[in-house]
This record gives sequence, structure tokens and C-alpha cells, in this order.
Amino acid sequence: MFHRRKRPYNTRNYGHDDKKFKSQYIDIMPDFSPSGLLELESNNKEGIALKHVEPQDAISPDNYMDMLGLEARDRTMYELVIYRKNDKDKGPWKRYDLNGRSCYLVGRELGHSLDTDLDDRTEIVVADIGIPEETSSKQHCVIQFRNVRGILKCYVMDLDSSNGTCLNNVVIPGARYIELRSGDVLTLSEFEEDNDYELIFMNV
Amino acid sequence: MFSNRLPPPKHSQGRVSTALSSDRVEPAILTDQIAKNVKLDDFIPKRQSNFELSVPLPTKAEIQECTARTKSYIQRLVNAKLANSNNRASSRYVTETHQAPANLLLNNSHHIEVVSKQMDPLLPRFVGKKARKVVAPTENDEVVPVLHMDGSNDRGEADPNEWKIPAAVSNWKNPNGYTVALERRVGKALDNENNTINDGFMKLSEALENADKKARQEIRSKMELKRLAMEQEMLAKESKLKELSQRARYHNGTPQTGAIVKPKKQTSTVARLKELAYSQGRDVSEKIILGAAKRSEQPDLQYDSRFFTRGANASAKRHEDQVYDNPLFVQQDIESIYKTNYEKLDEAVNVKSEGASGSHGPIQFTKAESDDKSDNYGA
Repeated sequence: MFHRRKRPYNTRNYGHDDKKFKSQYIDIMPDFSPSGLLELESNNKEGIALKHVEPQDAISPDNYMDMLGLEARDRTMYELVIYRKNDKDKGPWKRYDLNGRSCYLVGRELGHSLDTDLDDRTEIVVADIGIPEETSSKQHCVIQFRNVRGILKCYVMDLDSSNGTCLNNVVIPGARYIELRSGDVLTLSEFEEDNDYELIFMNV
Repeated sequence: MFSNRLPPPKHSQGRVSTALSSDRVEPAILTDQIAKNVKLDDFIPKRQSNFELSVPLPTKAEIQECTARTKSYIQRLVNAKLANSNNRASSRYVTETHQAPANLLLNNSHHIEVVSKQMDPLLPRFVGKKARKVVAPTENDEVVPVLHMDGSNDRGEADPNEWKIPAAVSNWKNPNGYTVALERRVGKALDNENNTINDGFMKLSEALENADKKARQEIRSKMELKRLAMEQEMLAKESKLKELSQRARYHNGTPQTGAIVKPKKQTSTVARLKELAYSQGRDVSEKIILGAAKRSEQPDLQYDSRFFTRGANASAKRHEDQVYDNPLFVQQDIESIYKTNYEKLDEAVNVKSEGASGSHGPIQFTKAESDDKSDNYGA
């Protein structure tokens, strides 16, 4: 127990107002919560700490198929197709080839910053696949390829985003790897009215 | 003493006395012999008695005769010594009869003389064994005359044109370095008119050039075909992707306009996980800690293999006659620690269940039977 020590009263201070000296007795307690500097130093992008750390069995589709020694016609192509709901021409808005790397971060990419304090309103984009939605988090979810017992599998994991992630209209729990299959539809919000973009995972 | 038994002296011309008195014989002989021949002039040297006396010298014939006799005598001595010595150096004449060819112009029979080196006979014997001394050559060896050539050369100055060497043939024309005759060399000016290049070279180079061109063309066309095939495959895959994505979108995605939007049920995390994992057959992992520090790369875990060796070695017998510390195939035991040996399991099961006849799999239970009838309470 922290024992408060009382000051002796002198003749000099006698008769003065006590409020003046009350601030001296505020106690400063230590803060034992982690500061986040270690995580920031080890896993960051442009000064922003990344939430996701790749697992030990992460492998890119190209490396996996090189390891198996497959030819071009036997290789599987992985693609993420993004559609806009209100698009008239019904063509895909963007297409991302997923064969080159083992991990793809999906997040917000508006072109300007939401923070009003910044004068130039420059946005720092951390995501590999950017979605121009204000409801998306900067680090919303991640698409991860893993080598599970000799089989290449693709997973999606919600990074505890504010608005959640839907897989085929079902909200997936946060911070869990959930297997993706060809034809799955991902949306970056629980609420349908906030969804303007659909991410369709395809592999052939 | 002279007596009758001895023969008479040779040079005595005295009378023989019958009397035995010696005094009478001896003085008579001495006196007669000496008295008869001795004169007074005999005691005077001849040169003093006759000052004009001329001494005659021996003639050449006498000298040669004396030399021959002396030489023969000395030769006899030398031959006797040589015969006794160990080094038997002597010349032998070998008569051989050969049928010589006619072109050699030799007689049918000729003598061959074999002469060995002679040692100095005056040297001690043991010297000859250690070091042989060469004696001077015999008289038969002829002295080789020293011949000298005349200074001037009889021939006149050679024609300088004959010594002229034309320019060398280049390696480009003669790559294998064949010997080329002088008249065929390119550098010679006289034969420039007759210089002709073989047509075979041109034909060969043309053929090689055509073959190379054809080969390159074939390779290029093959690569072009391969590239086209790959492009077609990629286009097919992309079109399939597009078609599938469209289908997936309309099947799973947008609700149709005008349709009634049902309110979504508030399901728990466990229910959603169950639906994803069991109903849809997806792989769902445990909860992951987000925002953790990235793992630094470290080398593979090092372990001491002696632990496995010790475990495998536990089955080995320990006795005095054991020679080796480890069993022969100790590595096999280590490698098979974490693997199930199904054959051993099958053997164990078959041994325990005698009734099973070579069947693999779980043990089948048979119906219980009892031969004791007293247990049957109903009976």
C-alpha cells in the first residue's frame, strides 16, 4: 500500500489557502500494458503496424506448382474479380491475379484521408487490394495461401474489422482462417446497403 | 793327383810314365805346356809391340747374324715367362672356309686373326688383376693419315633463282598444314596464270550455309507454334474464369430488385463456425492473435541423436562376449520411431487369435459356448 506522507505545517505556510498545494499529492502509477513498439518494428508498412503475420506454412501458388513441377497447362490460376453492384455494363470493375504472392491484404483505398487533422489529406494505403469504400477498414481482411499437409489451400481471415466481412452473405467470425473455394463471394460489410463492391474468388 | 783310374787330361801331350811317383809327372806336364807356348813377346801388349796395328770392325752380315741370335734367345725367355703368367695373351690363327658371294671378290679360304690385348710382362702379377695396362699397339696397326681438303670450291656460284623460296601459304588456304609443292604455291609469280580454286570448296560452303539456315528456320517455327498453343490455353482459362465469376455472382450475390429483403437472424459465433466447418465442409482454424510481432527466422531445432540411439540400444544384450556397442542396423530403429509398423501389428493379432485364418482387421467375437450342462438352470 502506498502510504501517503503528510507534510509538516510550518509557520510560514500557516494561514495560506490549501488548494494551492493539493496538486502535489497526485500519484503517478506505472503503465504495464504493451506499448506496441516491438510489433511496429518487426511488421510494419510505411510506419503503420500490420495486424497480420504470415503463418509458417505460407506459400505462393507459383512456388507450390514449381515445387510440384507442373507444366503451364496443368497449373491452376487464382484470380480475384471485383464487381460493382450498380454497374450498367455488368463487367468486372477490377481483376487481381493471385498467383505471385502468398498473402494479399484487402483494405480501404479512397484516394484521400478520412482524418480531418491532416492538412494535405494524403492517404497512406497499406492494402494490396484497395476498395474505395468508407465502410472498409484500412486493414479489413486478408487472403492467405497455405500448404496444408501437402495441399495448397486458400483462406480468408477477417482482421477484426469494424464492419465485419461476409462470405456468401454469412458474417464470418474475426481472426480465424476460413477456407475459400472457387466461386465464393466476399463483401466487406455486414450490412447489405453498405456493400457496393463484391469480391469473387476464382480458380481454374 | 793324377792316377790311372782317371782319364788322361785333354790338353796334355806329355809322355806317360809307368812309375807311380807323382813328383816326376806334374812338373813335367806343367813345364812342357808352359815352356812350349810361352814366349817373351807374349807378355807385351800388342798395341805397344806394334803401334801401327789396325783393329778390324765386324761386317754387316756378322752384326745381323748376332742380332738374330740374341733376339731369338730373348724371345725364348719372354715366351717362357708369358706361358707361366696368368694372362694368357697369344695370337691364334683360325682357318675358316667360307662360301663367299661372288660380288665380294674373296677367295674361298682366308685366315682370321684374333688378337687380345697384351699386358706388360714385367709388371707384378697382382697389378694386372686390378688395373689393366694397355700395351702399345702392335706393328700391324697402320697410322691413319690426316687428309686436308683444298680451299677453293670447284663449283661456280649457284644460280640464285634456284635458291629462291616463295612466300608461305596462308593457314586460310591450307588449314591442315599439308605439304604443298613449290609450283603450287600462291606466292610464286610464274604460276599465277595457272592458279585455279577448286569448285568443291564453294559447293561445300553453300551447302553448310543452307543447312544452317534451314535448321534455324525450323527452330523458329517450332517456338512460334509452342507460343501460340500456350496463348490459346491461357485465353481459354481466362474466358472460363470470366464465365464462372459471372455465374457465381448471379447465383450467390445480388438479390433481385423488388424482392423482399428478409431480416437476417442474429446467430452466434459458434453457430456460424459450425455452419462453415460442418455444413459447407470448410477448413476453419483456431483464433489467431492479431498484431503480434513477426517471428524471426531461426535454424532448425538441433537435437542429440544419442537419445534415439540409447533408446534403440536398450534392446541389445549386454554380456562379456559382445563385441560391438550397437546393433548392426541401428539407424533403421531410429528412423521408424514415429511410424506404425502394421505388419508387426497384424502378426501379433494373428498369433493371439488362433482361430482367425490369415485375415487382417479387427478381431471378431464368437458366440460363447459351454459344455457343462449343470449350468443350465432350466434343465
